[in-house]
Amino acid sequence: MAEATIERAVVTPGHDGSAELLLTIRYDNGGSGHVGLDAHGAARLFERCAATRLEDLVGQSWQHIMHILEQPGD
Amino acid sequence: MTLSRARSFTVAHPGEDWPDIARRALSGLETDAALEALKSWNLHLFLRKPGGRILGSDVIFTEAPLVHSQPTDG
Amino acid sequence: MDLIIRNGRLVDGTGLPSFFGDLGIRDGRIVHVGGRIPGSATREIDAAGRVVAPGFIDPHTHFDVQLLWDGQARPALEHGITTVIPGNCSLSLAPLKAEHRPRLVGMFQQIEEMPDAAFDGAFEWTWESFDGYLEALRKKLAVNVAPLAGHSVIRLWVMGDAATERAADADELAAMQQLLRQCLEAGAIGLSTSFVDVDENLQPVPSRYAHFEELDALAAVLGEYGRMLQVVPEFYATDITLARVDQLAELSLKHQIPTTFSPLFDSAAVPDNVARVLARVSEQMARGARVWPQVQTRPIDISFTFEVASLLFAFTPGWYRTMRLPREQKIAALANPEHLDGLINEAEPDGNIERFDTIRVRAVIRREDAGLVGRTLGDIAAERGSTPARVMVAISLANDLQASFLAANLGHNDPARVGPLLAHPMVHIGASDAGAHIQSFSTYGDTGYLFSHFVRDRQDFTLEAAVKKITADTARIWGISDRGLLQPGLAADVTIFDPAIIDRGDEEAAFDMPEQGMRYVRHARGIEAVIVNGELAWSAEAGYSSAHSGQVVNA
Repeated sequence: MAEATIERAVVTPGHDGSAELLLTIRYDNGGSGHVGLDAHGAARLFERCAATRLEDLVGQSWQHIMHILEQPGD
Repeated sequence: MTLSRARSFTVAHPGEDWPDIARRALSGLETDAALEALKSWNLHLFLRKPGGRILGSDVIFTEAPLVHSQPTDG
Repeated sequence: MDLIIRNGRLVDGTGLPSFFGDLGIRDGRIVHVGGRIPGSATREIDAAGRVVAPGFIDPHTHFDVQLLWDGQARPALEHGITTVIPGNCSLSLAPLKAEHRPRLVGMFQQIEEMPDAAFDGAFEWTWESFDGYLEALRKKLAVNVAPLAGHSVIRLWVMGDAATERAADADELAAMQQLLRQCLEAGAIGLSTSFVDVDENLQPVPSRYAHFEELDALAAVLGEYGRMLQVVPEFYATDITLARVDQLAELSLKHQIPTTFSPLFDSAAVPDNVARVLARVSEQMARGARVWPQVQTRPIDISFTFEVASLLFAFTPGWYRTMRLPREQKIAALANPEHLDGLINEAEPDGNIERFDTIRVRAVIRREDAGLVGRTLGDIAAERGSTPARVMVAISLANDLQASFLAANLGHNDPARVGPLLAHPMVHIGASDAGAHIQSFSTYGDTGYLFSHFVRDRQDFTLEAAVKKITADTARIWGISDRGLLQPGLAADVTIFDPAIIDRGDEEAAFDMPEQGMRYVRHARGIEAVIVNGELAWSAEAGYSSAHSGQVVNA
């Protein structure tokens, strides 16, 4: 299947008062959706994608999001 | 009153794992391909620890987000 | 007549235009509405220039624990709240076996952020059953309480440790149904469940392990009584919320029950979230389902410390990179003048971190810094002849990275979108979460904010429509039949306020939890008096009274 990719990354407040990373994922059928990462997950995604800015996450494969789950972390 | 089309989803039956759901919900696909598709459509369930653990109350999408003029959720 | 409120502007909860006149109360009930009441009463209140409204009802609270030592639910009562609904999000203090208390305390602490002392000595655990809990509550209630029974505790009672391991079998389902039935017989207004909450170990609460068949079985019991099902859905995930709306609609139609989900947020990050959810709700309501989205009035704030790499710093790569360093390296980097200069140059003067100088110090661990709490970085910087960013770093280092800060109004914060949303006929104003997250932000004063911001300043509502939303509408949605209106025969819950100044006060730290535990509160502005079942429970003049006229109410 074609790669679903990160189309947009924005910071948004979570219900508990913490900042969350909200990713928009564009799928190969043209549909898109959102998935949220907490501070720890977001930090690991930045490392995985060698990103320094939010914009650096745009265009990255959804597989990167899956990959951060396989890394040790808190 | 007819409901408008919404993104299809299922819930796990007691004892079901991802391959079971893949076989039930995406019977036209090879299991591996179905599992990959389910992963990409259900990132919200893989971004937990342990990733991919299915809880009884989870919403499990069985298709990609529908194409809207605005984003939907992955 | 026990009490006459004279010369008030009567906003009776129906949404119809207000009118001037007197309100008479006898034996805890409203006996006269409008016109001039002849004679005198034991007590009279002159409400000239003030609004006289039904007491406000808060449908989403976590006062379960606090009510055991504070039957006034401070400071909710002084905001005009006369009825609270605790037990939301699948968690209630009953039914609960003694052996499960530590587990529930962990879950409550995760959500409420109550100190240990709140559970250890502030009250006596005298109950296991739901009616036993209500008996403990009734001893000194000053507000009315319409409690939900929590799905997680029902599951825990029946399944023990297996509640967080697997699906229930047929016998366990039947036992849960019977237990819920007992709760409803005792006075529970409904059942709450959660699809998102976690315990103190960040593991899912028991209700999340329940399959839909279990929720369906419990909803069937709710159907026997026509009572409410409350759920917490996933946030900002529109497709999931739509799926939850469909699930709730199925249960509502099948079992003829009302359902509500909370919260629904507006978000610039997901701009079509609200429109899509409301469209689905409208479709389901047109089929006869009752699925009420709860929307909070206040914007969402973000709190952070330097311990964790808050995403607020993601806008400034140098800061974010520094924040992601291991702890000791982070401290060393921040203490390095050259590195700090680099960060400062990145952050200022452009201020890439939004509202940098308006960020407030929320908490510190050094006693000598206690005076900084509540002040803005801009204010402190001016005093020190420094800059907000340098001040923030200095305070963090001095407090071993444990100082916390607040950036206000960063979500659910576009009044041009939130105002019409709150006024939407299918939106249930609530989701205050009062009594929860007490060490993170204040969850009190949402009703004052409704009147000050959306009625007085923006005029998204008429005064009458806003009052109706938080009184009669709430009572009707929850099936509370004898409250929510100024009408003869109904319970005399009354809030008197000045519409020109009603508001929520500034957020401030209070040390009024057991053993001087800290929480954030907001006091009320413009509320004159609050009457619960005919008794004066709070007044601007005398504060909290000794009245304990609150009741356990149900549908």
